[in-house]
Amino acid sequence: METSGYDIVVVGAGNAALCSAITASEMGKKVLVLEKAPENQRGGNSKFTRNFRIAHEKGWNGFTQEYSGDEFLSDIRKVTSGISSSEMTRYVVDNSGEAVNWASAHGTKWQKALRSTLHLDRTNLFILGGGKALLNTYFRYLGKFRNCRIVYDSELIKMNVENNTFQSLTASIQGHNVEIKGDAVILGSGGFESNLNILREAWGDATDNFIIRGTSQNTGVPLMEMIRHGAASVGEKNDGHMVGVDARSPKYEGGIVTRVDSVIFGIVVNKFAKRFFDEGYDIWPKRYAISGKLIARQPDQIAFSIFDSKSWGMFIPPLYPPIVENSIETLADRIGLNPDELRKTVTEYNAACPEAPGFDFSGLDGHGTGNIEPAKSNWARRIDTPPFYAYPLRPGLTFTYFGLKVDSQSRVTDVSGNPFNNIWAAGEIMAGNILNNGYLGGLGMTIGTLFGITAGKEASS
Amino acid sequence: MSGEFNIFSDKDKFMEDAVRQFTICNSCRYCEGYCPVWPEVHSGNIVTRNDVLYYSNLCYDHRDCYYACPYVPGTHEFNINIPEVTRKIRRETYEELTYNVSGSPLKKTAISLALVVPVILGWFFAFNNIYSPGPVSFYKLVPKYPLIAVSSLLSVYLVSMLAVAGIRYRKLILNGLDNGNATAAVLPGVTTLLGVLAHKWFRNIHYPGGKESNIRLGFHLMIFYGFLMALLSTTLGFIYEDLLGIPSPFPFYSPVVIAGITGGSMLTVGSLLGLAARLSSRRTQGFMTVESFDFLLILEFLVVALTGLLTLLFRYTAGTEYVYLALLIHYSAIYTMYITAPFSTNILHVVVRLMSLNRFDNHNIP
Repeated sequence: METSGYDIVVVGAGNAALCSAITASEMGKKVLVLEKAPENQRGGNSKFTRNFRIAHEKGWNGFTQEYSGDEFLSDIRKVTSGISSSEMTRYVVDNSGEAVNWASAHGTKWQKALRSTLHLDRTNLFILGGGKALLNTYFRYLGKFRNCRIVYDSELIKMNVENNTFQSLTASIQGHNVEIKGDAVILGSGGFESNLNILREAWGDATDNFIIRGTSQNTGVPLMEMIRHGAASVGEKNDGHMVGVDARSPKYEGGIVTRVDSVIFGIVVNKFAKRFFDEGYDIWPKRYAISGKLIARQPDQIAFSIFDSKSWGMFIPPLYPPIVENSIETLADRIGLNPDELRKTVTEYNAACPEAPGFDFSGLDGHGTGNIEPAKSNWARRIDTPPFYAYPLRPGLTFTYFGLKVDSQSRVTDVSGNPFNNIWAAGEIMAGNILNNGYLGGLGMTIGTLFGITAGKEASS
Repeated sequence: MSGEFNIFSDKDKFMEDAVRQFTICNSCRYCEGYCPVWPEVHSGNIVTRNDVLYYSNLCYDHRDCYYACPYVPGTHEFNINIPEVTRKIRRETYEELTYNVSGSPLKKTAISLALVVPVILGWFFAFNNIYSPGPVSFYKLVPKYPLIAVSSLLSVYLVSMLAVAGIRYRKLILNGLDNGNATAAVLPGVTTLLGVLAHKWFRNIHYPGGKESNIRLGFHLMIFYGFLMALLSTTLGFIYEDLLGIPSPFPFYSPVVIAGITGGSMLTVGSLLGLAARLSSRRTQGFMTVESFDFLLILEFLVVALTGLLTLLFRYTAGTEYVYLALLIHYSAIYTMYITAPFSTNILHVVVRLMSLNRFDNHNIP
């Protein structure tokens, strides 16, 4: 392969990287895409995604209700504790519809909100077949451009940057180190969620018990290379989207199916059979998005969702079967908890549950516990009808927020605030500029698409 | 009856794995908009073996789900390949529905031929009056009443066999499900029939290669409507000659001839396209293990269609002997087709598909 003469080198081949590569290719640039994974595992974290969050009017793309930009913005502020209020966030909200239009124009097809995701059908547009189907469409489209070349099994190992200008990069391509030169580089290479060494810096030994739900390819080398060259960062290394997942899930790449939706229906206890957070704090996805970090701070990073037969069938069953027993004590035995302690916790919880007229799991129902620590603010229904169910939970890291600070053109900036001359970033590697904690479903794809296009355009002009 | 209808007792591991795969699908749900299978999978909480039988027979083998799946073999330990699962199960279902008659389709066909052809030939010689004076008449080859008798008997046999298959299939998929109210509508509703006539779910199938195409739609439409046209021609011929008293041969502009030529041509082209697609599909990786496509039935279609067309052609061009020879082969092929039909996946799938779609429509159309 040629090692120089490229107008643009794109590092990564997920949604953001492909949006950049397509934009640059359409503008006639000579583009090289370096994908770390082999061809059949290409696409990074994007292959596990499923939807775009967009502000829209009623009737747009089949939506039956409006989702205004103001509401979208306020939702972002809620999950980011008000931190995120930059003009970039506003830009994402105002242009979110464009992300979907662009994806449609490039062959992406959509589907109605999935069963059991009705809470998202007003705000999110679902990709027919999910992220991998979208990626397949983009790869097929990109394949038509003779000015674009995709090379698989190509891992970036070193960035060569001088005077805030990208000179070349060294990549290991099918096992051989190759120096590649280009006029500009776009980093669409994701975060570092599959790099246990960096995670350990932030989380210590707890890292051993993390389950990485996303790709195993995101080791964050391009990100750390840019930090080494003086790029400014956003977010903290322990910031990430971390949810409670089935403890039996594979270490990497479990994706969406590892999630456990039973949390709000009962209680969650740690290895000492003690409750440790308000399981009824809020509806999906906010409560869901915080549970992972809470479990990460519990001893041995293990927890158990406990509920009874009244709730079985009320949520999407996870990929592994529940642990089922006819008494709380035998259930405790099965999952390795002290039976007396679990019995005590359940009894105390039941005693604090209200005599509610009926529980409404479709929204905050206000049926909270009485005097108990921690409280359960909603859906405090007694656990009293056998058989009893348990799912073991671990922290499931989906992606990380620590990333590169970029300007509004998605150009990477250095620690003194000056942009690098020819280095752009798009997608998860810079999503921390908009989100640095908490998460709103579907925002990642919207950010990746918009800044992927922006980076592609800016790098081409 | 309650509990699972355990037709796969010797294939427990396979069914266990099929349930495992669909359970993972049920907690993912990304494929929901692709085809009828997914809304059905996602409507239940747990997946049972009976469910898996039903899903498999709803599956059109579009393979969209395979290409969209991040968990496919070779890339992920979950090893999800639903099109392969459903194809294996469809084949098992068909075998179960026809009492799993031993021997290959080839053997069955050979036996059938061995039974049918001598009978026809016997008649041919016994009633050998094709050289008698007067116009060409099909009844000179096989006299009217034996012909009607044999045809009726074979029709009764075919319909009964298919009815039995239908009843057995209904038992298989309904067992232990729906708390009894699934007795609804054995006969397909209007929505289902219209959908079938329009080939509603046949668009954009990844066949015969990895790319989406409408090739299967094309040849299935031709075989489906070609078959119906040929049937129409035969029926019209019977009505004209025996009920209206209009003697054959009919002129080439008669509806009988037009329907015959159209149907025969569509069947021929459709069968050839189908065969070509099947041969070319062998080159598609990942889908080599099971083939539900019935090679022999398509060959029978071809022989029936071609000899039908030849019979017509010879009536206008060639000598009497050629007409009768073509007709003789035509009759033999039709009877062979009748006898082998209940064992043919392509015929059985008409029953199974219709019932599955009907169940789907009952669940999903308000």
